[in-house]
Amino acid sequence: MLIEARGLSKSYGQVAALGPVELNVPEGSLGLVGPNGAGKTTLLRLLLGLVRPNAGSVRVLGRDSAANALEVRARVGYMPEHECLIPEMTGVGFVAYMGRLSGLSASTALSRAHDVLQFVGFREERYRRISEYSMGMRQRVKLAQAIVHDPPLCLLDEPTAGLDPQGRDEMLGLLRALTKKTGKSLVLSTHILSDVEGICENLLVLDGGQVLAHGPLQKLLSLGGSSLVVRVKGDPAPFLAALAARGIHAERTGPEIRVQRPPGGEREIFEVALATKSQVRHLGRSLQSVEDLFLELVRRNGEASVAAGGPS
Amino acid sequence: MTIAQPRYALFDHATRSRVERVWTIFAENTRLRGLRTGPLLLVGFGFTATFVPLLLTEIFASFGLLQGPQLSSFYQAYESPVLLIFTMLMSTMVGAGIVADDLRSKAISLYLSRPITILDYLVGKSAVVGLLLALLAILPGLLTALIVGLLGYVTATVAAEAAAVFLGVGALTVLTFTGVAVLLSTLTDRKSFSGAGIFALLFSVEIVSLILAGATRDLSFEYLSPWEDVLAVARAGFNVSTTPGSTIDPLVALTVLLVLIPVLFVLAYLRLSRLEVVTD
Repeated sequence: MLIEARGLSKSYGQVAALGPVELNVPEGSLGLVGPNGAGKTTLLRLLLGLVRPNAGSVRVLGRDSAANALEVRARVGYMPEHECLIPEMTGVGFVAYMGRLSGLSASTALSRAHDVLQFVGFREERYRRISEYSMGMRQRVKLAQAIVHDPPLCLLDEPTAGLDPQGRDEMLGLLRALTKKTGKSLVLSTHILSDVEGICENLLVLDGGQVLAHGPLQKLLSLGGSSLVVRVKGDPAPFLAALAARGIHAERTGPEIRVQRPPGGEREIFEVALATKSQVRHLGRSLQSVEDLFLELVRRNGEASVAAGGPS
Repeated sequence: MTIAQPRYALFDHATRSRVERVWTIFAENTRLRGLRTGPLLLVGFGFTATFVPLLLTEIFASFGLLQGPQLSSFYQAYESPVLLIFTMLMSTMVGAGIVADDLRSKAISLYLSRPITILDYLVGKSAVVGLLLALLAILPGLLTALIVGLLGYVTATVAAEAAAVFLGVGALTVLTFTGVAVLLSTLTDRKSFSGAGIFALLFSVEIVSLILAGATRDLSFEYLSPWEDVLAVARAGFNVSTTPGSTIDPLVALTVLLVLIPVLFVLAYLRLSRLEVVTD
């Protein structure tokens, strides 16, 4: 198991940042998504053993992050979201330095630095000072330093932040190569939900420090099969009324109608449309992307909070 | 863009020990910060300004041109303000950015995401400042003692005693100034602020303590200045004769320094422990 959390919670003073959280993350790639303040960074800090949990525990690669933080960090690569490079150093010097800090000998660290910089697309520019690098190059150096010691697990915090579309595609290509070709496990924390698709097998959705959803990405998306999205031409009121008359729950959300899948499936929807002379322009699963899933989960969580009298 | 699989696996290789990782921080930062024009010039001028007069003093003393040759003649290294000025400048120039630069660039988050503790980080970084200060505060005196001892200008016993005192008093100087520099460097992410703070603190404490001691005729104010404490210990170490009541007690001064040094480093450690270093 890559990550196991039991009753994990962390608060800063009176502010609850995370939890309590129960997690069992298998090896592979995990997309960690959530709005700002969801607890993503706190979870990453807990995984690295940089902060101690108020309650519970978390094991990374079978080791307790709080009790064996140094062992965990030796086996984990971390790419922070923010700027973190030493501008006076050259790309290869910096990556080799980080390799040595992770425990590699000087010669191995230098060889590895060249390898991983080649991997992220650096050629002669590796000998230039980091202060002269573009944003895209800095992001790639950050990725290189995270994998220089060949960790089985990489924690990547917003790896595509600040990149132009081409840089973003290149970074996603590298991450795909990391998971598919080198078999590394990734935890990809991002608020760009489409980044998760195509890279991550598993998804963890956080909001307000709570786990909204966790599991295989395809399975979570298929949960959306219980509801359908319908668009009809013209006034949808007769169509909605006919659905209600048949006991099919439906609600209008903007131009779309969200319909609970009836026992008769899509066929019953078309029968209602025929009866009310409504022309169906679109009929599909309500969740087609991670973004749909995320919005749906956050919407439901907000409704649940309001119903419980809590903050939305 | 080339996508190729890296060829090595981490645990195919013997990983380095924690001590070696601290050494890496020290070595890399010495190269980055010490091997620059400013610090190198400072070391060159500072070393020469202490070493040459001290060596000449000892040689002339051995010819009977000056008083000596005795242990107390080595105190000359501390009598002039040269040592104080250069150690203050070095603390400011190198110490100011030693942690502040990592806070500003947020590189500290990468250090601490490695198998490195805050203590490892502080030891490695402090050692950089300590080494450069030692080149000014220990090496000239130590080298002089060895040279005049080997050349027979002073007896071997006097040379060994002088070397030991230079090592001891120099270590106190280095640790105190390093502690001040590292602590102030952890307080801000702006090197200019910490640099100004280091210089102002060391300089103002020295001046203010002397003014207060002079104005009130109460020497105990001199204990406030680390440099005056160092001088008191040096006087005792080099067996310099003083009029009773004209200088502060070396034992009390030594106690002040031995309390001050760990306090400075503990405060720096606590400051770093409380930083939210992973993200801003």
